[in-house]
Amino acid sequence: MRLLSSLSEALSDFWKDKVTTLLAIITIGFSLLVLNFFLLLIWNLNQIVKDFKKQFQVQVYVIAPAQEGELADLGAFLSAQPEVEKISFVTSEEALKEMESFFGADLLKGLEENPLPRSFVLEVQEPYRKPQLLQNLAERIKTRPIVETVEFGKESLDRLDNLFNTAVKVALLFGGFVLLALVFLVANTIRLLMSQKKETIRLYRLMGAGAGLVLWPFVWESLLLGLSGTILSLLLLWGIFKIFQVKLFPLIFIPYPVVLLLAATVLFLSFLGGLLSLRRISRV
Amino acid sequence: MRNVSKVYAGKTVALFDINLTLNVGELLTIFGPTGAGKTTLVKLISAEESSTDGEIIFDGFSSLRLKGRKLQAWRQKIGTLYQDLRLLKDKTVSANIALPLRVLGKTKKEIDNLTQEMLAFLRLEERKDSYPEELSSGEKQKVALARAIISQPQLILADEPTASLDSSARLEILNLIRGLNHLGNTILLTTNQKEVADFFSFSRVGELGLGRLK
Repeated sequence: MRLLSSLSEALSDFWKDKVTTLLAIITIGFSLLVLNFFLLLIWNLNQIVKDFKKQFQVQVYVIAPAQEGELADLGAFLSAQPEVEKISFVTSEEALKEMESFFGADLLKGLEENPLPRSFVLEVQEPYRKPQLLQNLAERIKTRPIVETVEFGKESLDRLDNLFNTAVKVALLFGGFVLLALVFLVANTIRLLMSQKKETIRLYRLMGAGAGLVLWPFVWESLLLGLSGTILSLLLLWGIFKIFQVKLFPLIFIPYPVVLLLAATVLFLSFLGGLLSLRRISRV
Repeated sequence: MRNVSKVYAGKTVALFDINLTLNVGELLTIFGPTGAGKTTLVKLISAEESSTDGEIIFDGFSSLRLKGRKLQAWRQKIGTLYQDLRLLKDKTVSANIALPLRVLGKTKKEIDNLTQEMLAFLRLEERKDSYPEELSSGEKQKVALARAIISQPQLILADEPTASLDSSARLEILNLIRGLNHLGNTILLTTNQKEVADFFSFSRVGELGLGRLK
């Protein structure tokens, strides 16, 4: 009962201080938009990296004189490696055809014999698609006698991982600042709303009201500020997302569980911000 | 009150060695000029401020080390009509009157009923949705009085209740206060107006000057 009446009081206070409240919501909304936009980018970058790695293959080239039996042994060895998800064998002819389809038949016309080696193509399981783990696999494979070279595009993978890690670090740093700013933003807004209600608070206290009765409307106000800011930022993000999707390139939206987690974090921090300003109430 | 003194900023003596007893159902008028310490006396009894020396005993409780729930309970048992009224500008007459009931945690229905009764008692029904700034001085005073008595407190403090009123409004308020006392309410009233002290001469009148009770 008291909770509900304090909620209605909070809403009526918001309405009375429309300008202060609206400005605070807009500020919170736009700050969170920056955070959410970063999150959207990171999420999509992560997806791009995953997709890229999905197509990722390790190629094991074998020496020319290798016999059928030796190839079968190597094939069995490769299949037994925990990292390997799928294995296929590419003959010299298949490699040539593939190259011709890629570069055109004219390029290799002058050659008397097929120079391309036979190879095994390995698809690696998702958890192992990391430069260092692939390097370990390559080292192990290289110890086999008929293996000539092992290639897996280490540099591309390194670059991709570095890019992703840097983006995550920047987003975390930025996100941290935005969330910290949010706490102070809510705290200051509540302080402002409180200073406008100073007389009311004082009168309530002089009539014997406990801190709770005076405090609850402000707790609600803190939470409503955080919630409204989150909703505003998500609406703006959705708009930006749609523009990107239609005009530029397809993106995926942040999954709902992450959105909910973010909203819960913002609400908690808003509550914290509110509490920062409410400590003084108990002193009246 | 036992040997109560109040000294502000370490040197201004607002009240000095006050000894005073107020019996249940009694109306006590404290008469004195501006600056005599009347408002300070009200502030000490209502626990808005604490005394520098001495002790106030109210309903079996001491004013010493008064805090937390004890302080809340003390304040809830007293209804104060402030000299400056302290009506909330952004709340209607009804909402202003209902404040003490909200503090006591009454239900919405109880609040509505009691507020309605109080509005009828003070003939303020037509003003229930008005805001304080839309009221006359007399009406404001009645709203402040309604707020002070709606929770049926054990003690009513009225600090200069007629200070800013014309003679007809003053008489109405004085009659209301006398009526409340006849209904059994315990009242402590302060005034700097001789005619108000005379009006209540049927009961005890104390005189306060320069922080001392004569």
